[in-house]
Amino acid sequence: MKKSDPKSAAALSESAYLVLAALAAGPTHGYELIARAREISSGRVTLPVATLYGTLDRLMGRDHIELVSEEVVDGRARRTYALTDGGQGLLTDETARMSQLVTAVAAVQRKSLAARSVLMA
Amino acid sequence: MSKVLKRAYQFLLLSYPTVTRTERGSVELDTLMEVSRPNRVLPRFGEARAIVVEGIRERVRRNGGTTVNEVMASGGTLGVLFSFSLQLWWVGMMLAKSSTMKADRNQAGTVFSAWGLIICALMIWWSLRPSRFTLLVWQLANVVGAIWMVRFVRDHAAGSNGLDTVLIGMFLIVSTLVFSSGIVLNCWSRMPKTARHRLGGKHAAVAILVPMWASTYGLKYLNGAFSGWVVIGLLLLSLIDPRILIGLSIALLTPAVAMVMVISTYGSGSLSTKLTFPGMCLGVMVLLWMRVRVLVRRTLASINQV
Repeated sequence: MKKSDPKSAAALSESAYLVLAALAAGPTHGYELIARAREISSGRVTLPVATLYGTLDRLMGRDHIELVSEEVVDGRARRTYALTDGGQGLLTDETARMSQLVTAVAAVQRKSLAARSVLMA
Repeated sequence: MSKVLKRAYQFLLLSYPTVTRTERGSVELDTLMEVSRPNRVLPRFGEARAIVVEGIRERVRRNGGTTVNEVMASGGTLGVLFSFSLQLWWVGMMLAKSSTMKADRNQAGTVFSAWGLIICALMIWWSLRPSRFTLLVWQLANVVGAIWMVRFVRDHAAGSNGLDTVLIGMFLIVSTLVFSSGIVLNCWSRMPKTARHRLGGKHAAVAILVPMWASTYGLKYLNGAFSGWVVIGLLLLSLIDPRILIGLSIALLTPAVAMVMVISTYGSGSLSTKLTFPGMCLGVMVLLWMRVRVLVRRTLASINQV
């Protein structure tokens, strides 16, 4: 696996991570992205439309995603976005970083619980 | 019904810069309409707030070419120009041995406040459309303002009273503590976790409130009537761009400090006040400059996060 870039990983907000994760399932448009992000976060996060488009703009500016098509469906303008190779790499790195963090925190918690149970005994 | 909602969204989208609205305004509007429930009349509060906040962030990002250092340097230049022309006037009057060389803080305050409003307008204009020309206009206006001011104050006699001196002295000591030693800031970290979380963003608050307080106190010292308006103006400006606030604060603070120095030096006051004031003012100015620069940089970095 490619070595993670700590700078880019640390600079990824939750909304950007969710957008990348939602696009990992395939190219889609804004409305569908909000639904996917909600699903991924188990209903915890509903991305506001303004935040979504701001995030999409910034991710596109850094070549993490790309605009695939622009069309009018039922009188409404729709833009479809897709993940680039760079975006895929960033998502993988960020996921690995967070997994590593979760593992480390879980280990600390396990140790703490074990120490407490010894004291209680 | 949905027409009202659409208009409301269109109105909120005005917080975006024109370029952004042209680029993605229609797509965003259509998505907003798609996401909202059919019986919705007005936007949800959270959605409305997100649009306005994103619009402000976008404006800040679009002005990315203007660095904090540039803004501070411009604010400083203005302030120094203003203060310098003011000092020159009094030196000239002293050399001419005029009997009407004393400063009147009420008269001076009126002109100073008017000058503050000019700076506010130019600061917004310059920040939203930064160019050499607007900067030049800004500086020219500063010189004109300085001349205007000295014309108003030249024939009026006044001096600082004891209470003002004590208050300014206290302010200088407190702001020095806040900005240099970190003693005051460290007190917060010893507070219970929940209370600390509730007071989140203390750095941003210090970065915004202290220079604002300093500027407005300077204005209040000169003329209380305008200080309320200046507080409101500064708060609104800080919403648009933190760089406006910092440039404005410096542009206002420098001449305010200069006025205090002038009045304390040429007006009534003890010898110790005359000797200690200029040094203390300069020291605080340097500390403010160093501390606020770092804090504003951090704020901008968080704005530019992906």
